[in-house]
Amino acid sequence: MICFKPLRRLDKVARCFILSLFLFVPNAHAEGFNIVNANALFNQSSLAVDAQLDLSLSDAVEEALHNGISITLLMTLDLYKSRKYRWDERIARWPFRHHINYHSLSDRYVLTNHIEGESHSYASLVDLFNEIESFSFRSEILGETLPSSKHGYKLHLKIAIDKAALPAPLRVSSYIFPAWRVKSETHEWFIDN
Amino acid sequence: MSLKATFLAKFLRPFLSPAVVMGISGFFLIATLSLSMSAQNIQDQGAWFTSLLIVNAVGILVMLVFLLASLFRLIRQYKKRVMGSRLMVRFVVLFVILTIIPISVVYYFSAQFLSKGVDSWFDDKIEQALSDAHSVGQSFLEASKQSLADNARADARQVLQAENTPDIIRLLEQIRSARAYTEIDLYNRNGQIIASSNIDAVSLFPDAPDKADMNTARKGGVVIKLEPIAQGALQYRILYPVIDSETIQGLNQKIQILQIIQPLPLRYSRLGNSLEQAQSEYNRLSYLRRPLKLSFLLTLSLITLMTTLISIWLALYASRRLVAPINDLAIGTRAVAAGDYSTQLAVKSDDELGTLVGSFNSMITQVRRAKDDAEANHLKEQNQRAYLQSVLSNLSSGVLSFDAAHILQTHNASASAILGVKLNEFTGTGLAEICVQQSALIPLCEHLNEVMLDGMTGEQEVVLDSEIGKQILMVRTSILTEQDTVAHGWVVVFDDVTKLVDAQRDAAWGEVARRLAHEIKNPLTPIQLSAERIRRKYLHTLPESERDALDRSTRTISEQVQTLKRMVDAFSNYARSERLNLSSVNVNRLIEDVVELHRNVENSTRFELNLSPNLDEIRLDQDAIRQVMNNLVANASEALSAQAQGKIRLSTALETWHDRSGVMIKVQDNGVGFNEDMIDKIFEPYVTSKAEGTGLGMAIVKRIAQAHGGFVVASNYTLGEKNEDESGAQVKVWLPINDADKSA
Repeated sequence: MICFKPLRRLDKVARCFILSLFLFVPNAHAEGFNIVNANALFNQSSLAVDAQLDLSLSDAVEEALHNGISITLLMTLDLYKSRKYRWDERIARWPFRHHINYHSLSDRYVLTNHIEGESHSYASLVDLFNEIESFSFRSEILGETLPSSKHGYKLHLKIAIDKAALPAPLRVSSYIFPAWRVKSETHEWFIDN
Repeated sequence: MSLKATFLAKFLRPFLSPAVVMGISGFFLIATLSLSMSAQNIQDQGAWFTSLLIVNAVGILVMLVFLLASLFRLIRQYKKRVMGSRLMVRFVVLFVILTIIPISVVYYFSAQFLSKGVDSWFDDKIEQALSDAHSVGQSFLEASKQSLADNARADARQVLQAENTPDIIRLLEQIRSARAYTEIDLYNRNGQIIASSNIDAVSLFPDAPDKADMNTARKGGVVIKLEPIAQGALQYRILYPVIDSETIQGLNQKIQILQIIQPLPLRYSRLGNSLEQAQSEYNRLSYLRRPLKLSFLLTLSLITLMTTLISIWLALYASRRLVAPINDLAIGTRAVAAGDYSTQLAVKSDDELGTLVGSFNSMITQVRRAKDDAEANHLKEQNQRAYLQSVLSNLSSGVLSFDAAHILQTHNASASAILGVKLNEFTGTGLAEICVQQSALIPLCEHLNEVMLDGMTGEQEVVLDSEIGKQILMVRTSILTEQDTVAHGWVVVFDDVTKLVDAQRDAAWGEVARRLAHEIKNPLTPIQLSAERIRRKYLHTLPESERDALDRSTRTISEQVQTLKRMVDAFSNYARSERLNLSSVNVNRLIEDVVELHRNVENSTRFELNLSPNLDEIRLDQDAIRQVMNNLVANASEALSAQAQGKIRLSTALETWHDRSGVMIKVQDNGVGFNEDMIDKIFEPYVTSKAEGTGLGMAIVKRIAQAHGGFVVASNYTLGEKNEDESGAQVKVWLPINDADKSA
């Protein structure tokens, strides 16, 4: 039976390895982006959302920005139809993207709104974030297309770095290293009928 | 654990079929290849790279599950010592080593190559050149700022001299046109627009400055900055405080802010933009160097891991395939070893292993045929042996066979019966050893030894001394030879001709007696009658002197005739064939009657009876047995006639002879015993030590005993200390008890 000992040891190592795969979960603690307060006004025909954000980048992200990497902030507003026994059904999604670049020759940060295409430069990231920390959204498009819901609706608002917009090599790192997990908690509103 | 393992095995078995795993492996290999290609395309890899990474990670997990399942299965088989598992473990270890080593080497050098390859993309000189160019650009822009500041100062002085707003508007328009500004604005202290002039006539609103810049200007600072605008163009934004010197000391100091926006000349703007893009791109690539290495390394690691897992699984699969025919062979061999010759293995391949399996099948077929033939021959031999045994068993002759080393090989029941020895106990024993243990067989052993040593065959009479007397055997010896004519053993066939010899002797003596009776007895009566007539006629006529002679002569003739008659009668008795008149006889009582008769006559002789109380009545010829006892007691009495303290001891006992129960009657006297020279012939007619004996008494005893199926033995005996060293002659008569006697 001596010959089985290495196999048993191998067995234990294999089990430990598998266990470690499940235990190795990167730090998912949110940092950098916070939704300080948010208000929503919702009726059958319109939706109004106002939110105050607190934005800052981690050192790793700032370093990437200063090295010519374009950072995209993705703010997502989702409207869900609440359901009792199933997952909520998403009715609509409004994504808002802000591209941030660093212009080294002028030493300024350039903010570009992807919808309007307008660019503004700022002397510092604080100035840049001051520009977008006040979020305001108005929508009149719901109207009769909004499906009825017995259990009301939910609104989700969150903001994070759009990793999909990062260069592919950096994207892998962003999934691995916690410094790139810059995102806010999801702010949720419950809206009765 | 076993339950889990069983469940896992059952659950995974359908997914572990080679086709499924090969298909999945192929899919993941394609995914790995795609990942590799995507990783090489730095610019365009974004679309699929992450998805491919996830697919490959999932693939590795799936392959890991397959592999672990296969390994657990193998370990379980190894622990259970399943046939072939040890060989398979060896193969797997060998294959894995052969796989891991080259893959590790390739992985190591690939990682090194990747790292150095990515580093080689970047050149310090280029980086320095770009940095220098960037510094030059910034220096140029800084130098331009000073000129702009001087212009702005002069413009501010002109604005102070303006009297009213229309004049200011007119003045700003002139300055903008003269200096080729894009826009020139005048703000009051609170940041409200006073006047503005824009090159774009339709532009309604001025390009407002940042609050921070405005605050700086409001405090008297001059702000000159370069701003990137759309399409890579650059512009200067100057905020210059316009301070009225008359109100400088008071709180109500009049401060206005002049904002000038002037685009960088197109040529410089393009150069700056080009420089910015080059610097930015180089910085970007330089920054991405580490993530790129990580990405490549991760891709390489995934590919290596996937390849390794697939290789190990293939090693497991190949080992299982390779071991399968060997395992089949081992199982087949074990089955053959267990005696199952019907095993036929499936030939699954046409390679050497397939040939081996085919050869095994052929070999097993031939072995089975040979075994069947051997069994048939064995059965035939057994039948022949049984037949021979049957023949031998039914033979009245004794048969012995010896091998070349004189070892007893076979014998039949008659041999044991004739020799009175349980030959079963001596099978495999040498002739000499048999004779050492059975001294009665020494004459036979000497004869056989002589024959075997000389290599002779033939027939010879051998006389054995048995408990019942001389035993005459007619021994025929034959040599066992095979094709080489070398002696491989001997066959000894013998018959007990003792009874035949006795019968012949008895017949001869019977014929003698009959002739005596016929030739002698018939003339005796006329002789006696003639003698009596002579005596009666001439006795009284003869003179007195001759009368006595006649009287004695005739009386002698009559007496001798009577003696001759008795002798002839005795012979007639002996010659007469014994016809037994059987009846139930109490042997003990019969002996007591005979002893009582003789006790009355032989007063000087003491009789001692030691009769067994366990004797039942047996079927005997009472008169014949009485004659036997009379003869024996009379002989003993006569032997003791000259002895003062003669003693005759008679005893009976139940004794078994050759598996037959019987009664042993023993008559002993304390006389001088038998003459050693005569003891062998004591039962022959006319053998007597007495002067007046006929010599037929013991012969008659023997005939009667043999007629009853028994025997008689005469010998001398000596008793031990308890009987004060008593010795003398003894005669033992054994009479069988028939089954009918027992049932009665």
